[in-house]
Amino acid sequence: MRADLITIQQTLTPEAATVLNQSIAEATRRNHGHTTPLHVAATLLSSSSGFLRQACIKSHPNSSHPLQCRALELCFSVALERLPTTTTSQTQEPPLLSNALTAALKRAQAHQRRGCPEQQQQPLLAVKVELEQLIISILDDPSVSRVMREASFSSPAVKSAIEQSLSGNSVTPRQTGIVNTSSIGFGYRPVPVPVNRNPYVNPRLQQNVSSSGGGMVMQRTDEAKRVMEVMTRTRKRNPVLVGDSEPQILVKEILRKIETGELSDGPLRGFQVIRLENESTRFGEISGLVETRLGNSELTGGVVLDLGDLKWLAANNGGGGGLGAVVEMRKLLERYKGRLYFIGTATCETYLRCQVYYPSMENDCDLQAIPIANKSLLLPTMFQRLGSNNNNTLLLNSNNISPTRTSQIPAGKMSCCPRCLQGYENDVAKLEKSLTGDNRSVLPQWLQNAKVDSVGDKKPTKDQEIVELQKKWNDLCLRLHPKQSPSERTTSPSSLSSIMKPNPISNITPPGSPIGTDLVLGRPNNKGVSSREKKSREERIGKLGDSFDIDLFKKLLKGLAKSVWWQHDAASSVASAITECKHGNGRSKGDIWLMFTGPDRTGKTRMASALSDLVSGGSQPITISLGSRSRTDDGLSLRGKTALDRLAETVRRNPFAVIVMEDIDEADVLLRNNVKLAMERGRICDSYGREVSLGNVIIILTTDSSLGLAGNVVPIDETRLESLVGSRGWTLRLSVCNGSSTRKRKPNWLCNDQTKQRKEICFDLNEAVEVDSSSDVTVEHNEQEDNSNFLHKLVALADDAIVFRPVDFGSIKSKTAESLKKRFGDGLAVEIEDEALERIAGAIWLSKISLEEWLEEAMGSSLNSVKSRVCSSSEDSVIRIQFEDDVSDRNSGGYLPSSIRTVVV
Amino acid sequence: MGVVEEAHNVKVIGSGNKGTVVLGHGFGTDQSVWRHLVPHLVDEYRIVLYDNMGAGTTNPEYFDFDRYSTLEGFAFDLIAILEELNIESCIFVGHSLSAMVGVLASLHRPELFSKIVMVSASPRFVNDDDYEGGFDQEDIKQLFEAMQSNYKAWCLGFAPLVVGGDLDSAAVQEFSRTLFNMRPDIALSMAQTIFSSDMRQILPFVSVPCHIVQSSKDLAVPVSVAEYLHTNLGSESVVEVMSTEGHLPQLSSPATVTPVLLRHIRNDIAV
Repeated sequence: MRADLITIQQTLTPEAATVLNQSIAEATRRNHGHTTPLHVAATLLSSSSGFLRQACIKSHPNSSHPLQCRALELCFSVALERLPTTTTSQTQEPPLLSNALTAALKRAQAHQRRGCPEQQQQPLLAVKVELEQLIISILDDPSVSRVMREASFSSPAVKSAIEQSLSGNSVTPRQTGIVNTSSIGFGYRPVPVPVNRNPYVNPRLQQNVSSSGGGMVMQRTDEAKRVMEVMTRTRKRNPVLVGDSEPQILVKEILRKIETGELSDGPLRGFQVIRLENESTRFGEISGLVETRLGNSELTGGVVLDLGDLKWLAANNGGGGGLGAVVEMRKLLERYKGRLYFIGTATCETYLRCQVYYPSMENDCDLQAIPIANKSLLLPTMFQRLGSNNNNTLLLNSNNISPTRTSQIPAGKMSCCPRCLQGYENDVAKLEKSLTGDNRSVLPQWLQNAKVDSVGDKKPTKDQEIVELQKKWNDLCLRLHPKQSPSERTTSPSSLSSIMKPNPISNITPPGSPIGTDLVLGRPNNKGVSSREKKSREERIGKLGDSFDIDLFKKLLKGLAKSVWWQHDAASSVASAITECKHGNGRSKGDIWLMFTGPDRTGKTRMASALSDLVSGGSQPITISLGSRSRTDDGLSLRGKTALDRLAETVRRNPFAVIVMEDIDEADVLLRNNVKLAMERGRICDSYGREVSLGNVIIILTTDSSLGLAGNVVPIDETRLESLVGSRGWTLRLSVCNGSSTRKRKPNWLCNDQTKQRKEICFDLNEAVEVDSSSDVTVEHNEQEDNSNFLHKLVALADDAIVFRPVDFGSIKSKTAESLKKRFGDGLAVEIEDEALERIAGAIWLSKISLEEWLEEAMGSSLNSVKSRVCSSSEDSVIRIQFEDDVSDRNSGGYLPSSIRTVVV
Repeated sequence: MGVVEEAHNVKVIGSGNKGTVVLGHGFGTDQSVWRHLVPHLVDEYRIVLYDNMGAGTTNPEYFDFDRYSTLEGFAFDLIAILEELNIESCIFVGHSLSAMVGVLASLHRPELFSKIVMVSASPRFVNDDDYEGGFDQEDIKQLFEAMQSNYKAWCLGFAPLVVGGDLDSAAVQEFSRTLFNMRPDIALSMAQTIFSSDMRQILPFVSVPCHIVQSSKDLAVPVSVAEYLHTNLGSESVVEVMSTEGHLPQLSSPATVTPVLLRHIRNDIAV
């Protein structure tokens, strides 16, 4: 059962989960066997966010009436009181979710999935039910709508109010046209209300004046009129005025009018008033009095019986004389139909209690409740409602607007032990005292800050100081009491997300932000900077056990290591990172962020394309180059857009793509921040503000920086290599010659010597690079300083950072030679001229083709013919591969020559 | 306090005797956008700050979608405020939307305005034949769609774009805050009003001297717009293009903008 609850909580957003938890806690508190939709509805109503409350107010015809909502609240609490309680109260387990509630939660999830087409492709768990959806499905529950009906609310109406505010579309259809022709140019309309002193005033402001403050007397007569209207009806004509203090005054006024005969023309003409003074104890006597009065033939009209405040009926939990009185009232009413009226007052609570204790009273006694607002309070409460509650549900307060600011929220960010917390609170109190000591209350809050700033006084604002204090005490606590409450401390002050996350273990999560927003919800930052972990991958695999899919890992590793053979460690890291992310480690996110660091650009590109090949079935990765060194050609459709939009576009088009953002360290500030946000939130926001869920994309960020992790191995200077291989056309000559003569002509020692000499002349790539890079370092030093901070942040956010070691070109060459020789077969002696080898290796390195492919393509035919000749001639033959200049073959097909000349000597 | 004053959160501060300066804020902000300027004015002028209807700080119940479907609604509000405060003449500093509102109000009641300082103002945001407004019809459509589909996401994307700064900068944060404070449907309606407005026809009838102050780089208002205003305004006008970036320079680069604004408030156009 507990497991059930946990899975259910995982399908909810933190706000919704909090509500659920609170409901469960409420059910526990009330000793109820099940948590029902009623509990949830009651929790929602009482929650400070008041989303449901606001929707109720919106939906209700008498929407300006704050009491209506209190009535609703009470109806729910009464309904909850009626629920059966369990006798076995000693059970520690929280009450089960009732079937109705489980169904409601499932409905909510289904709606949520349907609601966002973007997420359709996401796995079930990735769709989190938002608070609004939870409310909507709770409203669908029959028990909830019954209770709402009791309080004269219609749950469908409330539902539609929520849906309306969800879509933000309370604008009339008229507004949707882009160019409103009437508003162009002069189109002045006459001012609608010309009666005012000030014709320019917004008429709505005046409406409000007349209906509140100034028009108090008028409104009271309005209400009196309403009461009289009720009394002249044929059904439900006995008014009960429900309100706090106003009803009594109003009733007094009405009765005075009846007694003095002011209402001489209505049906109440000639009525007498009998007041129920000593309440229930004497109701019998009163009924007698009523009978005698009405029996008196002199009375032309009838009798209005003032029941006074109905609290006498609600007293003693409906026991005492109450029931008798109600029966008596009904009898009287039946006997003197049309000649007897009741009038009474009640507070909202009293009236509801009466309804609970005497469910049939309202019908039997023909009562009609008339809500009366407390006028002296109406204006402020209404403004308060509109100004604070109302807005907060739709609009966030400033603190929540961006995840980057969450660390500044002063409250609830302390991660230190109670002792230090107290110290912190003392400091805050002191600070507040000192601030209020300044006489600065004349100006509005925002101006006070500005004033301080503008004077040039560097005094920090209160919020800043509080944040500083928090930091101070948190740090202090960490140093002084390192052993205390380590679990608490893991929720670091900056990660609000971990606080907001539903905590499946405890029953009650701390009530988080009451507002349904996903802005502050980052991802739990539960991974370290794994690139720094020096432990081997094998260890990690062992530790991960079941959650690690060894088959996928092997497949990836094999594929990656094959195409990027010189970066075996990196391939293994990538494979394990992808496997780990795909299998979640309990996380349900789909997008994977990898950082490829290090100078090996070719390695990184190859790795990305191999990964894309393996992961998304043979497609090429989409590369977005941010750097100046890019060689890639972007798709035409993406041209002219910002990198951010290209990224968003790509994600939108293919939520399973592998996307490479090349040279992320050269991105502009805006993109950097957007990328950071996207990493935290799993969604990317393009420059139009449209959000796209990252789906299951794998985003690879590359940077040439090694983040100071690599040793001093000199990287390959690719531009130099490129100029070497690509500047002039070149080809290869394949020749077969007599072995012995060759050996004579080229002894081993001489061979080596020659290569050495060549190196010294100009072709030593490594040496040349060394000079270049050292000068580069001094130039780019500052920039790198700026970047390193950003890069480290990215590394921390990414799922894994993979270091590509600088590649030693010598090893590439030897590897190339090895595979060349292998291709020619075992029995043959193959000699490769160093210059030729250098070029082949370089060209293979730079182009996308693999050595084997190229050999097959370009050398295939000549190779076979050479082979056959060698076989036919003496066994001592040697195949020699030589380099040749070729002007004609310039740029015919990439870096490598497309054909090879075969010569037999 | 009068109804209008209360509804618009009108604040009158400052003890100066050089006259009254009325500060009108633009779309997506509230009077706090003038926070950096106000302290420099309090000693010389009497300052009137107010919130346009529809700003997050105003009561959304008062937002009459009909009344504010054209800029006149805002202009009438401005006049109503001036009337209620019995202001006979003022220097009006209007940013963006409010600059045009000020111009419109001055057509109705020219005597109320001694001069208008327009910050990042544009008579029309949408491109037209021979007119560069900075937005295409298509851009606007996308913008509205984005606003409708997810307001908070739109805010987050729109704020840095308009302010033209780093996502973390205080100005962007501040603008997103006030932008986000607006009720989404109201914000959409206001944006529709603004982007559908075309004040080009009325410029020749303006009789109040106008000071046009403008960022050199503003996503919403190209510099050519300032020039357009200058040539087409019926009254005396002067243009100053500042080296700042963004549509809210008074918020993002107060150090540059405040002196410029002070100069334009204090000095009149030399005849």
